[in-house]
Amino acid sequence: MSIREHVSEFAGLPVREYDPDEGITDPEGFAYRLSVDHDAFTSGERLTGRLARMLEDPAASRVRALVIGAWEDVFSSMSTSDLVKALVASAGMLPSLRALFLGDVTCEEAEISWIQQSDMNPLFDAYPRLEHFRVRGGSGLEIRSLRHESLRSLVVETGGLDAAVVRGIASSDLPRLEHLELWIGSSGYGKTATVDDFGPILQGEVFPALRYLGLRNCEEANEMAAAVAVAPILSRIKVLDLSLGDLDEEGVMALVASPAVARLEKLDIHHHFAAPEAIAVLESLGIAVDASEGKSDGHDDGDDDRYISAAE
Amino acid sequence: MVMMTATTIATSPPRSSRVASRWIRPLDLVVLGNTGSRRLVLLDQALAGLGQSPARVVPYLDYLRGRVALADVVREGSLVRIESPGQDFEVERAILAVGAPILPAGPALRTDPEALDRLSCERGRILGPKQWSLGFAQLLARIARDRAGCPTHAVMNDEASIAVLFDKGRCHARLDRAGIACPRALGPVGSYRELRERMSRAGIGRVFVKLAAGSSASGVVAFETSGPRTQAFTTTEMAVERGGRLRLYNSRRIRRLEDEPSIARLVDALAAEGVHVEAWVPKAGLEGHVFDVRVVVVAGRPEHAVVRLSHTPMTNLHLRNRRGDLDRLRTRMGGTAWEALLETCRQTARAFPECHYLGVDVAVLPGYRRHAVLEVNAFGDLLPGVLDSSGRDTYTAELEALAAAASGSAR
Repeated sequence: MSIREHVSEFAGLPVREYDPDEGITDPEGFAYRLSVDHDAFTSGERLTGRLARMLEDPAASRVRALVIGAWEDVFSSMSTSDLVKALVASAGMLPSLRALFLGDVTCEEAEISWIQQSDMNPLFDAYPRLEHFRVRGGSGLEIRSLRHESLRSLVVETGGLDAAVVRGIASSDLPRLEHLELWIGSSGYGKTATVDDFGPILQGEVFPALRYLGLRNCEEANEMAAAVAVAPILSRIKVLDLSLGDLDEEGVMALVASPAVARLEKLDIHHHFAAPEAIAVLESLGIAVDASEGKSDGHDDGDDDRYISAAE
Repeated sequence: MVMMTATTIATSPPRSSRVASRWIRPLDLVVLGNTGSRRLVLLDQALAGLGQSPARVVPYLDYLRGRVALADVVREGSLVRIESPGQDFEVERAILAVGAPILPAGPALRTDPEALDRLSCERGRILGPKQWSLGFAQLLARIARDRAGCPTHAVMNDEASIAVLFDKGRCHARLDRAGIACPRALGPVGSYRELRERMSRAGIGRVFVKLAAGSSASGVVAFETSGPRTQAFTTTEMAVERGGRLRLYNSRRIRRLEDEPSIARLVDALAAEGVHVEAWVPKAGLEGHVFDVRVVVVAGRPEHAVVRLSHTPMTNLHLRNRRGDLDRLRTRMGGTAWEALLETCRQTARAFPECHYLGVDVAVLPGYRRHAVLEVNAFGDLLPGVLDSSGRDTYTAELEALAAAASGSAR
């Protein structure tokens, strides 16, 4: 699953690129985006510099949502640790911040598995009123067991999720968490998390307010589907999202066989590899199902793919 | 002359192309091309729509074999159009034969005329690109010489410009000199090792490696490296012959390579044929895809454009990519950024004053404010169904602009 577009909306607000010349025109109406593209980087700009400039604006104290896009040299393995430090140091000047997305970076800027993240815990400590947190990139990512009273949605997008991150989240105390979305990825890109690591989440031992559970972009999604299908958590949530993974008939049948799945409001498995017959059974359950982008009719790798080039 | 505004490009309903809505002087169009090609069919349709006679075609094959002389075809006042010689295996072989005697040592294929005659058509095979480009350059030089001996006539795109446009290094240098925003070039490299050295010296982690004379994304590798990791996307399929020699094919299925030995092998094979390397600038996204814009500039005016969406770094439409919504892009970019993009296209056309039409591929960078020219195509006006504000396809616009210029009313 490649990400090719920047978010146009975050935490319910349209995203607007922060322009130092324009300033912050509507701190409550937009999610402000900070980024440094290659040219700006070449001319000496840094993301921390952009942030400092933004904080000079008195309206910064009213900004509700912040999107951090590509930072200088995002491609060349520069990690977010300095950025996290700068954000932590800025907490006093961003008292209204409720939503933070760290890493709105497309595959054209840096592949998801190449983005170098860092320890996120200082952010949660510095922003106790944060309600929405989203981070992209699993390399170097750390989220240790935390307690946070305000967090309502937590989204961790990776090409390969580390077991320690899953265990850290699964042992966290997040009483208001409604939306938990984890992109699990594949072992080729650093996934070490196994189904067992999700135990406390699936058992329903944590996150009493959970309404949405996303276990997305998952290699071996059938195994995950089979585990989730019989998990106690299903009786508490409304939406189960297993999209973007490699789910096929086997996983779909495990879901179909679960009475708890039939009581969901919505099941999302879009981008799957299941045959249309299996999808038809799923869709007969009577709940909302998104089974779009089926991949079972992929192209063969044959001579038909070859094309004539010269001088076209 | 009324400058077309951004919002009018390709948004109007089509006008019937068979009705001559305005009078233009009779054109005597002589086309060097491949008989039966789609380009010629569309061109003749445009001529018919303007009430003109069909083009008189000089088939490349006949010309290359000396069966037709331009002096016998081109008349006083003729208009000559040099079309793409592509998509015809016989012509490809004939051009390779022209290139054979002048091919220096190094590139993989040096095939003498007899062996070339025995060569059978293998779909998608990349056959001696260096030899082909040398042959094509010779062919262009010969056309120019032959035209010099013809009665006074006009040419739509001249041979010297086409030669520059078919050499990505020279083309990039010309754009650069003209101050046109384009990705930084790293120059030619002879091998994968040299590529890596060049990249680390330049501090650039992501590049496009392209066959210097390639087209249609043939022999293109999008390569990236960070720390110990390497990754490449490519249109090129490698097949190993008995004896270990590598055969290369163009493939619509974009391959992703992550093991460095395979990447090195591919880059080495392409580099032996001559490659142009430039920084891979990130492209913006639209409709869940990355994209670029193909703009056709006719007589200096960028009036036909198409958004090319892709799930891979290669956006060429024949690679199972699809067209995107131009209006949506313009809205997203805003008038100023879009107008700046069009101005860059005009500027690009001014860098090639001897070209009546050009296809300019422009990347819009993330953030939608800035852009960069990725490629300029001598034969880039094949955009079926893309119309300008007057409902004209590219060919009709080209012919009308020429007729107007010739009658002295504009330009």
